[in-house]
Order: sequence, then C-alpha cells, then structure tokens
Amino acid sequence: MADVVTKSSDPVFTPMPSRPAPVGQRGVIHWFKTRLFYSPASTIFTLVTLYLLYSIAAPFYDWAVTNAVWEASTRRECFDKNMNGACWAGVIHWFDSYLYGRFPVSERWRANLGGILLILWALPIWLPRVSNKATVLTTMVVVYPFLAVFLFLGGDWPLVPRAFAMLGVSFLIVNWCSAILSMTTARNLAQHLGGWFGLADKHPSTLLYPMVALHAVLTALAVVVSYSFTLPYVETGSWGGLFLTFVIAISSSLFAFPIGILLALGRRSDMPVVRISCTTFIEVVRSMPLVTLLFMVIVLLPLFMPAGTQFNKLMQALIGLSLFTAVYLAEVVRSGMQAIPEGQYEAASALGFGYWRATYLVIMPQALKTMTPVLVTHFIGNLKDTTLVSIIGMYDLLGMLNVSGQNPEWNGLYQEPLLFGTVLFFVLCYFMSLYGRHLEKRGSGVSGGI
Amino acid sequence: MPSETNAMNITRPDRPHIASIATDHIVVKMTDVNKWYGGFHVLRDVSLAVTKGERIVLCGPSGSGKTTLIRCINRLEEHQFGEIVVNGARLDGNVKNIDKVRAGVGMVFQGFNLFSHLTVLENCTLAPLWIRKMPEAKANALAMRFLERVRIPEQAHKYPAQLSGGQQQRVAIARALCMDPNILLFDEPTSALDPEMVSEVLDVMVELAESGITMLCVTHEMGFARRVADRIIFMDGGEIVEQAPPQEFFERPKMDRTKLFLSQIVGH
Repeated sequence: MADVVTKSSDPVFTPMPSRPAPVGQRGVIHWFKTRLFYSPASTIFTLVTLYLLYSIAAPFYDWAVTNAVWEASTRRECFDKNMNGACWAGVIHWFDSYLYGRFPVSERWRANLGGILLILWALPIWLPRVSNKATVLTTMVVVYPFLAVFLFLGGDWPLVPRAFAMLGVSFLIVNWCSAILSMTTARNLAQHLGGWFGLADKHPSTLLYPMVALHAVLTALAVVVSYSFTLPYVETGSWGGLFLTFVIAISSSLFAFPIGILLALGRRSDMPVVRISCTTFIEVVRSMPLVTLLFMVIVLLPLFMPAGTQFNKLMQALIGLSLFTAVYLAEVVRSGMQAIPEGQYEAASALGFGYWRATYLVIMPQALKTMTPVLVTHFIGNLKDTTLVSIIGMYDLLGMLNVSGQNPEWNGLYQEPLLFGTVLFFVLCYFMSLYGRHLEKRGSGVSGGI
Repeated sequence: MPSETNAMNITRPDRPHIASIATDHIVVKMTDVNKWYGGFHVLRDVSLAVTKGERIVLCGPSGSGKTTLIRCINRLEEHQFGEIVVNGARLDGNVKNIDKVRAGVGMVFQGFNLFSHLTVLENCTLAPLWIRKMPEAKANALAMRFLERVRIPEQAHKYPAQLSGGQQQRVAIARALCMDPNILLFDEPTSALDPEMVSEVLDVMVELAESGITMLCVTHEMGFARRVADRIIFMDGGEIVEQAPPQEFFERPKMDRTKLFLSQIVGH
C-alpha cells in the first residue's frame, strides 16, 4: 500500500462535536404534547379513550380485587361471603391439580425433578466460554427424553431401555464436568482426556473414544444403582395439568424439529420423487385443521396398524402434533435456507464439501440464525396448540381448568380458572417472545455489518 | 465426442498452444467444450490447455463466457459436450473425480462468499479439518500462516462482516490456499471492491503469481494482466477469439474484435 504523504502546513479537519436537541423538542412534556394533545381533535380522542378504558377497568377491578374472596372451602361459601366478587379461593384450592392433573400427590416430586433436570441440562448453553454447547443441545434432544420418561412413567424397565435412560444421567454429569472444565481451563473434558491418552495431535474425531468409554462406565454404574429402587408406575392417563402441557409442547417441538428440517431439504431436493413426496406431505398436512388431524390420529391410525397394537393416547397426540408442527417448521426452514445466498453453496462446493456436509456446516447454521424469530413464534403457537388435546379427552392445563367447575363442591367455577389460565399462558408466551427478541438482537450483533 | 487419446494428440493450426506443449505438464485440458443455458449457447468449441505454473488472464466483454469457462474447471457448472481433464481426472459426472478435482482447485469469487457465521480463522480451517481430517492445532497453524501471507493475521478472530471488502477477499484467498491447491481460479476478484481496496488484493495476487502456482484469472485489471500473465485469453460470444503473451496481446493484437475491445478499455 502506498504511504500517504501529509505536510504540517496542510489544513486540519476536525469533526464538529454533537449538541443536544433544543429544549422544546425533547422530554416528557414534549412527548405528551405531540402524542396525546397535539390538536383539539386528538385531545378529545385521548379523553374519550381514557374514559372507555376506565369504564371497563373499574368494574373488573371491583370484581377481581375489591370484592374477591380468597378463603373458602366450597363455591357456596364464596357466594355467601360476597356474591359480586371473584372466587379465587377455588383457584387456590385447585392450584396443584392445575399444575399436575391427577398425577399421584406422593409422586409429584418426580415431575418437578424432571423439570429441574431439564433446566440443569440446558443451563450450560447460556454460560460463557462453554465449548461443548452442540453436544449439550443434541443430547438434550436425543438422550434426555429417555431419562424423563423413565422418571415420569416409573415401573419396571427392561435392561436396554433402562440403559438408555441411565445414559441420560451419564451425559448430564459429563456435560457439566466438560462445561466447568472449558470455562475454567479453556479446554473441555474430551480435550483433557485426549491429552492424557496422547490423542492431541490426532484428528478431533479420535477424541471421541475416551468419551465413549467414560459414558459406558458411568451408564453401567447408573444402571446398577437404578436397580436398587423402583419408582411406582404412573400411567400416562393420569398425567395432566401444566405438567402435561409442558410434556406435549416440549416433546412435539423437539420431534418436529428434525422432521421439519428433513422435509425442507426434501422439498428443495433435485430428486423428483423425494421432492414431490415431501411437497405433497407438507401441503396435505398443512391444509388440515389441527383438530381434524388429532382425531384422525386417534381414530384412523389404529386401523392401519396390525390388529392388537396397543395405542397410547399421549403417544398418538404427540405424533399428530409433531407432524403438524413439522410441516410448518419445514416451510420456515425452507424460507430460511432460501435467504442464504447461492454463493455460500458454491464456496462450500469449491472447497470440496458434499451436499450433506455443506448443509450441516455452512447452510443450516446461517439459516437457523435468520429463522430464530419465526421459530420462537412457532414454539409459542405450539405451546398454545397443545390445549386442543383437551378435546380428545386429555386433561392438560385447559382440561383441568374445566374439570374444576364440574366438581359438585365447586360447580360452575369457570371464569376464575380460565382467567388464571389466560394469565399463565400470557406470562409463558410473553417470556418466550422476549427471549426470542433477545436472541434476534444477539444474532444480528455477531454477524451484523458495520 | 473424441476419445481421450485423440483429444491429447489433437493438432489444429488455429490453436497452436495445444499441440506444442508437452502433455505431462498439462494440468487443465479442455477439448471442444460446449455449454448451453437453455437455448443460450454460452461456450462454443472451447479448447484450452494450461501447463503447470502457467498464469492465464481471461478477459472479454460481459456475457462472453469467461466466468462460465473457469467455473466448468471445478464443475460448479456442468458442460454438455466436450472433455475437461483437470489434474488427470476427467470431469464426467463421476462424483469421485469431482471430489478429486475440487481438492486440487481453489476458487476465489467476485462476492467473496465467506461463511458469515464463522470467524476468519474458522473460515480457513473448516475445509482442512473436515476434508483433510487435519488435527485442530495443525489446521490453525496452517491458517495463520496463510493469513500472515495475505497480511491480516490480526483479524483472525473477527467475523467477515466486520472486515472491509479488500480484507474479506484476502481472507477468501487464504481460505482457498489452506487446501493446498495446485490450481487457483479467480472470478473477477476485484470487481466488487471499492477502488481504494483493489490494490491490496492485487498485491497479494501478484505475490501468489510469483510463487509459481497455476492461476486462471478472470479480471478487467489490465495492469495486473500485463504484469503477471504468461498468456492472455480474449473471449467473445462464448469463443476464444485470441490468445497471446501480454506484450503481443496489447501491442500487436491480430483480430479486429480484440483491437476494438482494447481500444474501449484502454481508450478512456
């Protein structure tokens, strides 16, 4: 590069300092003036709107707070105390049922433990400098479900499925060790082990061998320990409430994700048979209302299966919801992939990457990043869609909210539980969308232009 | 379609290069290559032999097929007739051959095409790690060596979007070099750059040219062509109109089409 020659006699350019806006053009009063009381018409409009809001909010406040009854043992008692108020005592009485459905009271700790384990499992993803995040995420999708089902369902498990469930324990321990090591020493467990076994100068994939051995040992230990106790069997029919809502929403999202990606790849395939069958499947399932699909899975699926196949209603609902979510995800993934410039494929091909590795290493990571906001929207939608399983006779949160009003002692208690459910769903969905927005901002911060 | 032996011994008075060069030094050999985009005949009977270490500049008006020609060499485009042999492997739809060719041919694109989700260093190590199965430490060292060679080792941990166009293109060159190719293809590497940044990329390319690597370069930088090219190929309408060493090409062009082109790009 050529050196730039400057002389001391050259005039010097100094940028002007920035100044604040004039006093009348900023601050709270300016905001009120321009937004609410800009002209006589806008002033009238503001006042009318305020009056309308007040006339709705005031009676609601009286019902929900001023006249509300917080302590009572039946709905009759609520009425005796105050006819015009909300009977929150009922919601408080049924609160545990809303969370767990008919899950036996003495076994509810298992549902809690499952949730805590999931949070523990996912936690390393949000910690800084953790280098095994991909493993954490993959095992959460592939291994954790076995552990969760082992915990929730209980009963006597044969050796092989039991080993799969206990593999979950092994991964939870190893993932955490690896995460802590990579935070403190900048090398994860696989790299440490590889160093001890003298594999450091080999290809990264050889680092897997010591890890596999470690998992085998830990899993075997966990299996032996697991035979020392038996969890009472809790059939899926008595799973319910918010617990069931979470089970359905999370597992159908997890199942839908890989199916959706494969369908999207299939729809973009060069092979006509793959492309046409994927497109047909997507279009057929997409044009069906979810309720119809759920009924079809419940009523029609057993007809196609060999006689005597036992069906579990939860499993059927999961299949229906997963397929439904998967086809929508497929379209999201497809649009995400379309946003990736052709040049990225070409650069990957020119370096010698084949289709699958180019997709996995180059295209998908970028596409998933652009898709984050839409994905979050879909998972929110999925969480709300789970309420439809109450139509096919499952007692998820919505099902349980309706059950309480059918109880003789609390007959007719519908408004309060439904309002409670509304608030609960709003809180859950709102936090998910806040998190989605956060992801979106962070994503654009990394790859954003200058 | 001519058989392989015929193609190697083909002698045509209008293409003196093909007959006069010892065949064992030929790294790219195209014989009567034709390609169509739908009804548009984009390459017409293109024959070209590139010897080891040769530096070739392709020029010509837009739509003349020069980009398509070099993209056929690593099979980013498929030719429909004729024969292309690169590093001894024939490009005929055999996936093994395509992999073999791509392993030895690096490419630098007009639009850089860096992987935006990876840092500069990761961009360079991705292929060595996954295709050459290199240990991570070795791949990192290799990438740093080439990043130093293109003079941006200090940017190794930044993302492509944080770099200027000229820096991105130099990373793209380093990324291609990390696969240790014996042939480098450049597709208008400076056309998408701000004028201020053209020279930093050209400087790197001149250095590369002096290192003895085989280069095929589509460019409008005639100063660069004059300085480093062993041979300049002028294309129009999907045909090779004229090819000659730079001195001869610029000072004594034979064909009237070449003279017109040169007067248009040099005249203003």
